[in-house]
Amino acid sequence: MDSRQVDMSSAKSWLPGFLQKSKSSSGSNTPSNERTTLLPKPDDEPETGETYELEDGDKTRTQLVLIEFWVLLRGSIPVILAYTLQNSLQTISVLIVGRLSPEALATAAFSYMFAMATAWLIALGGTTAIDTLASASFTGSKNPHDLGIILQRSFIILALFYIPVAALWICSEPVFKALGQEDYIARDSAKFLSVLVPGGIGYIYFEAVKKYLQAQGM
Amino acid sequence: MRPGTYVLLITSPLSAGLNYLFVYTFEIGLLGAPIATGIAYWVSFLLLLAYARFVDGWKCWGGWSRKCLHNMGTFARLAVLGVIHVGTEWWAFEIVALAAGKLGTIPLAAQSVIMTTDQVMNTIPFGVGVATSARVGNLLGARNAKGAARASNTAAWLSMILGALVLAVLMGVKDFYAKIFNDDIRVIELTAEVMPYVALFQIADGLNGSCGGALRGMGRQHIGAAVNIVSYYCGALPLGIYLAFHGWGLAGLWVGQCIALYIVGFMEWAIVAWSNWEYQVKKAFDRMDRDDRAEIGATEPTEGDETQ
Repeated sequence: MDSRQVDMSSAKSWLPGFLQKSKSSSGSNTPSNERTTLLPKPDDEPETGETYELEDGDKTRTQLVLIEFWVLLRGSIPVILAYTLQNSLQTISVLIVGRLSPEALATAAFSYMFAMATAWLIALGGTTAIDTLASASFTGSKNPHDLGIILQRSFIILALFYIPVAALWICSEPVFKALGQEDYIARDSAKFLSVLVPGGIGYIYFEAVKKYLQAQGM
Repeated sequence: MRPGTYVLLITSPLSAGLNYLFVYTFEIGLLGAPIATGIAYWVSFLLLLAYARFVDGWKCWGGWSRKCLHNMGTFARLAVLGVIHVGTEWWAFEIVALAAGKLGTIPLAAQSVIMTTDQVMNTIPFGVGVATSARVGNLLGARNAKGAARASNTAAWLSMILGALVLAVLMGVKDFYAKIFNDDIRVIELTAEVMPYVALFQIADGLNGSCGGALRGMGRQHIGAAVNIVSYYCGALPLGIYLAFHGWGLAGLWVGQCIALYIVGFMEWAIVAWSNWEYQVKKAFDRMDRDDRAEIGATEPTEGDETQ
């Protein structure tokens, strides 16, 4: 499935869009007809497939939009699937532990909801910085290791963001009581979240690596 | 994102098994669940790293480097604003849930049904948004300003089409859908009454997701955050809560959310559509580490064309 992956060095060769365009306009002066290929490709360009169409070529506007539509749709489906599965992890956990007692069900559901609003938010919101920086670096930087550097930065910074959240989780009992939760939920959720502290960083790092791979068109 | 999906296809059943094992077989009880789920998260992370290492994606790694300690401010700033951008929206929905709790048992039950549904459906616009940011970022890095503009606009249409599909599905199932969760006829009726508002905002939610994604691809998380704060916290939530406690009940809360999402969606779309894309290309290169930009022309951030 990843044969489509672009070879870095040759990806670079067609990077400067404006140079490319001027080259092709001066180079290809054959008039197009019905049999002209719509996707003229330089010989050295690898088969990049739809997920990596970064150049305009000689396509009409409608074709370009339709291609873009297809690229985005194909890119979105695995992302949507991944998030659905990611959410299912905790839903299944709630369903399994909920069979212990109604109190266990309420505690688990409340704890995961609170985790979602705090640590998972760091994972999903904080890693948007990787979306911004890594995806532009992948195509724009001459040093491919920039992506690795960005990933390392994300490991450090997101861990720093996680420290106050972890502290809040461990000391959450009075907070939940102040928010008007029942005593047993406040007590058990605080314990539940304290045990979840090590797992939370795994969740954040998983999301970071996922974004690192996605920036490379995977 | 394919590797992430494969990994989760393995760890999702694994997590279910571990949860059962820790809670019941090892008789740990309630606290077995976070242990098991935490292990599942770590296994997911390690499997994904293994994928990057042994299958594909390792050539960008290059080993630990002291360079990761430089230029941290750019990353931290975008990360904080990203948390605020995503968080302001999530918290708005949590506040709606809290307000619904004050309306009584039946509205709370109907709210739970609706909220669960919306969380499942929200993965669609959110997923489109994440795919859009990566795409827009890649195109900006390739100096393809036109392509990035086209990708953003196409993503807006794609997400609205997907939103319209969700709308159709929700309207189709609204009258009997709540029966999956509950047998109480009042809950089923209230869900059917409120569901049209939830269905209606799916198109706006799609737009919000994809345009938010395009903004994040450009590194303009702060704009998304500002739009969210103004429309949810200064408009929709006060209005929704006012309506909810002045005769509209649960429907009032969702009318408020519906209005907010349309405002956010179209405002973000307008901002994205009227972006100066050439300037965004320049900004994308300015954010990269010095000396690593692909073209010499971009190495000096102070260069001439300060268009905006």
